[in-house]
Amino acid sequence: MMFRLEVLENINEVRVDLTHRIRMVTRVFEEPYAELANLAREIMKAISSPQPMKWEYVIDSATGLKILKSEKDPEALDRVRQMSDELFK
Amino acid sequence: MFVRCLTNYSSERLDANSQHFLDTNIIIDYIIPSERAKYACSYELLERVKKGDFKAWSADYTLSETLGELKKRKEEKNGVKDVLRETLSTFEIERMTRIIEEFRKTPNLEIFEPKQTSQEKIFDKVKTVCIQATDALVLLSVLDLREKFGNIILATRDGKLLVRAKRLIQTAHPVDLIGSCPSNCISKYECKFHK
Repeated sequence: MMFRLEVLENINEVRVDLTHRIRMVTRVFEEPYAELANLAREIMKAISSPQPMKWEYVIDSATGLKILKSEKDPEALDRVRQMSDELFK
Repeated sequence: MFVRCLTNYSSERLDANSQHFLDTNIIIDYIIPSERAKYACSYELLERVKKGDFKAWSADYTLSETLGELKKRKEEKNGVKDVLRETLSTFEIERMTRIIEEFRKTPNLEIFEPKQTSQEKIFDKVKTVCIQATDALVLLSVLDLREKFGNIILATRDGKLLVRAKRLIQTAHPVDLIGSCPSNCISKYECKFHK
């Protein structure tokens, strides 16, 4: 009876030890992938939820008109054409 | 009256120092590739605004109108008909919003918020000028700008608005502003404003 208990105890110890070792090994592989998975989730979130367009106005001192605030860029129309060509091709 | 308007329209000279209000149809012509190829005059006009040959204005609601038109055209392109729920993907809508956002950055083009307009004023313009309510809003915005600058031209490709609004404000087809039709524009048989 004593012998059987000892054997069972040993088996249990080995099982616990083995489980611990397996967890340690899998953690080595899981951790970088978990980080990648989080990154992928963040990217997906950024792509799928469009950023709200800001409608900020400034008062033009010369005319008193409320003008939509935007940084002027000579390349902007080129980007408009490029995006539109991709979308409506 | 209508015939007289048409006759006056072609003979009137445009002031080189005036500023221009761009109607939604010109913006749409520039953005949508098929329209860009069809109406090269609108394309040319915006390119010249970018270069600084013209100082242009537009109202903030024209951007909303443009986005609505882009969505409509994209749905048509996707073959969607009579579906009463949203069908465009988040990606497609995000792209269109980006297009509008980039368009706002066009040099020498300012987008302003017009004065609050009462329904009575819109009704009055629809009644007296015989135009649609959306066109009445455009006309009132241009009149609003005229109070500030004195000399402002409504640039539109809409034939009716072009002729009828002339009773209250100076109007011009893009080709009147750029001088002559670009070589790649549609023929004189298809366009009554061909020069």
